[in-house]
Amino acid sequence: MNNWESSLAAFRLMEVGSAAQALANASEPTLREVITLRCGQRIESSLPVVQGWQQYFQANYSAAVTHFSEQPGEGWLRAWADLGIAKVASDCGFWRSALEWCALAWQRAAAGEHMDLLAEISGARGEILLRSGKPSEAASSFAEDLALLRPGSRYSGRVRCYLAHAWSRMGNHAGRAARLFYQLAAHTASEPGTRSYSAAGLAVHGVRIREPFLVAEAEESAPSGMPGFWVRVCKAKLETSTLLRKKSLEEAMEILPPEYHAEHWWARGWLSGSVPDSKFLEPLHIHPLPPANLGVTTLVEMPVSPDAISDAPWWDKSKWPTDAEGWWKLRDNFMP
Amino acid sequence: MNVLNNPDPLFARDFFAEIFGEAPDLERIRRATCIALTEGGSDSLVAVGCLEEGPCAGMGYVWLFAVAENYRGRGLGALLLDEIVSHARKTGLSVIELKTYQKWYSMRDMLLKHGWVLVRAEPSKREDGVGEIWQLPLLSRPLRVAVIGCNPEGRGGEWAKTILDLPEWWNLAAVVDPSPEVRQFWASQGLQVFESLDDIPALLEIGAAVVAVPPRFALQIQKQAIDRGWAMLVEKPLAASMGEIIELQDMLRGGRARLVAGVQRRSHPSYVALKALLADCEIRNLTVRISLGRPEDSGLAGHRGDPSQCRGGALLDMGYHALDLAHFLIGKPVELVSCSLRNREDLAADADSAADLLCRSGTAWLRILVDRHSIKTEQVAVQTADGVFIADRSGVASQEHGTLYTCPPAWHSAEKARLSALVAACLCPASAEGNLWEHLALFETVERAYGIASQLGAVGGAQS
Repeated sequence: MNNWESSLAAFRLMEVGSAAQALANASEPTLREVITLRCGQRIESSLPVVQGWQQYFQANYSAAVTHFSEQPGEGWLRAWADLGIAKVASDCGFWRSALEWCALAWQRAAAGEHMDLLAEISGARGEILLRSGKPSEAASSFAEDLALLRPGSRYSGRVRCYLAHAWSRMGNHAGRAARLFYQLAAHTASEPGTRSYSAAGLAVHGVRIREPFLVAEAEESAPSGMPGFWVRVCKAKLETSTLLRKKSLEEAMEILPPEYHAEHWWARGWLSGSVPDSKFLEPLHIHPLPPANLGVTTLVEMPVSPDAISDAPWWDKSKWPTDAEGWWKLRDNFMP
Repeated sequence: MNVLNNPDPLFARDFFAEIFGEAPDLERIRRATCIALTEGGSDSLVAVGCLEEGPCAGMGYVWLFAVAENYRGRGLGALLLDEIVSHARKTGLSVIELKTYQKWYSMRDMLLKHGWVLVRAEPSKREDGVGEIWQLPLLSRPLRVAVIGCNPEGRGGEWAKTILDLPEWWNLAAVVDPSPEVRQFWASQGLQVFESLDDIPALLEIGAAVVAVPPRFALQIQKQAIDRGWAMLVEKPLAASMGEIIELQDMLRGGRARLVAGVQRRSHPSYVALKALLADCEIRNLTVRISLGRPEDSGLAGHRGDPSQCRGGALLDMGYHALDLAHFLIGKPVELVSCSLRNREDLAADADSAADLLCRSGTAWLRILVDRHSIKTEQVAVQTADGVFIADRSGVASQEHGTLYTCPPAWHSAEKARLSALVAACLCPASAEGNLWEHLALFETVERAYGIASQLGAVGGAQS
């Protein structure tokens, strides 16, 4: 098997993995997934690495790591398993370990020139770096991911959006690039969720660099749900008139049903002046998936406001303690 | 009806293909021991079961089991199961396991009647319903176990009582507790009691321990048990801090220790069914509410009320279950957004009597509520685009469709299921917990909650 063939095989097996994931989640597999599984002879799904991914998507991290660790060999399957362990470590907050596992996966995948896997590893590394407060390094990783993706890949919009987040967080010198990529993703991404979150990202970027027209541009695409909320919050942020600011905030709160009480609590606080301007939010985790968007009766009584709001990542990361190297919230290094 | 050992694999494969609509792997059938009931010649199979080797010696797995459609309702399934079990006994197997699905109601009933234990459930393809893993220990003599931390009013006491109800599997050889009153109670029941692990003589030949001690002592006790080579069932939380969990993880590495965690809600059929129902839904709000079952005016009995022993309270106790369950249902990383811990003045300074956590995962909100209502209860409510689902240990219901899943009565003794898993861990180290990643993720949230409560001066915030 030459490199290209093995790369194709890797790609196919990853498809088998995602089809197996759909089955593991007990969702109805699509016709494509069924065909993929059939083409994969269902034999591959017994591989430890595939079982590991199935468990990972069930949040059964222990079982996932056990399966990933059992994947023998040094080839791309082993690299794919290393990537799985990196994802588990990242989910548990062990970001240094996650990066080390990514590096190991990269080394193995690069030895066989498995391009699809390399792209996936770059994206995972970028996410870890972005979450751990290293936007500059994250940007390099996402740029690498973009370069490695196959032409016309449906993931390119998502990666552009991530890249734009990283650039936006890097400060003014990368601002133009962030803007361009948000605009590109907002207009061209094949996934509607990515389009609306790119618009929200553009609005937040507009606030960062104090360019109201970017917020207006984001508003033109009229995203709904969570991205729509943030676009209107951004608009309110840049309003100089108290009346108009109040109006924008009220519009934002109308978009999100009251069950999103943390956002409402925050928006009310800002409106009343009890939350200072300096605490203007980072965007919520810009999530590549479409937002949940329906209001349903709350079954369990929710309190009016939480007693203590943590400085969780979507809130104000500047309060997070960092170590000597500037890492946020890192556990000691820990290799499973 | 005749019993036929190892029928022609091709016949067996065709038999299963007709029933399941898919032909099983022929080579795997050849490797397994197949037992068939036939009517007439050896080619007219009416019921077939295939028993194969489990993950280690002493453990068997019933891979395939079916009765031909026209022959159902005549007790042939029970007959075949008996044949398989007696074959397993003859070949020296100590535990056999099988997986069935929610849709095979008659199989579940039959397993229950024959003393099988439902040990855990797993999501499966939607048309099959929940996958259920059942076990039957076949011990020639019961294993010897010690319960460490055995207040009759506490969890240790619950474990001891369940062990005494399972004389075929377990011999409660020792009870260890520092309290003279507790020791006196168990001694009056005719059991051997010890003040500490060091007092247990080697002659007792203990093979396993159930550890139900305050979190502060959990790691130290587990180290001692590991040194003695015992398999362990450890009541949650497994340790007192993230650092200790990492230490424990190190001890488990390389199969040096065998551990079964006393956190089982993610294996509970009701919640597995709920997860399966949520698979296609956008989760918007997920609330897990657990009540400790202690009225406000009762004070905290046992270690929870003792400042010298306590670290954390409601959150580290039942909150641990609630967080684990929420994490399992959401299937994605969970981030803590806010927390509110409350306490009463007469309790230990670092013990919270109620916890209220707000987390988010992607665009979904999670609420974890732990309180002290007088009745021990738990409930999960999930708001999705497809409606509202409510689940508890009895099953799952939705506002629109009523009852969607009813939990089989077998699970109502969760302790029994965990003790069966401990039997398997004693005999087959590979079936024990190999690592503790779920607990790392849980402890991260718990510690951060205590840290925030402590920093921001929330009432009753425990020191982390």
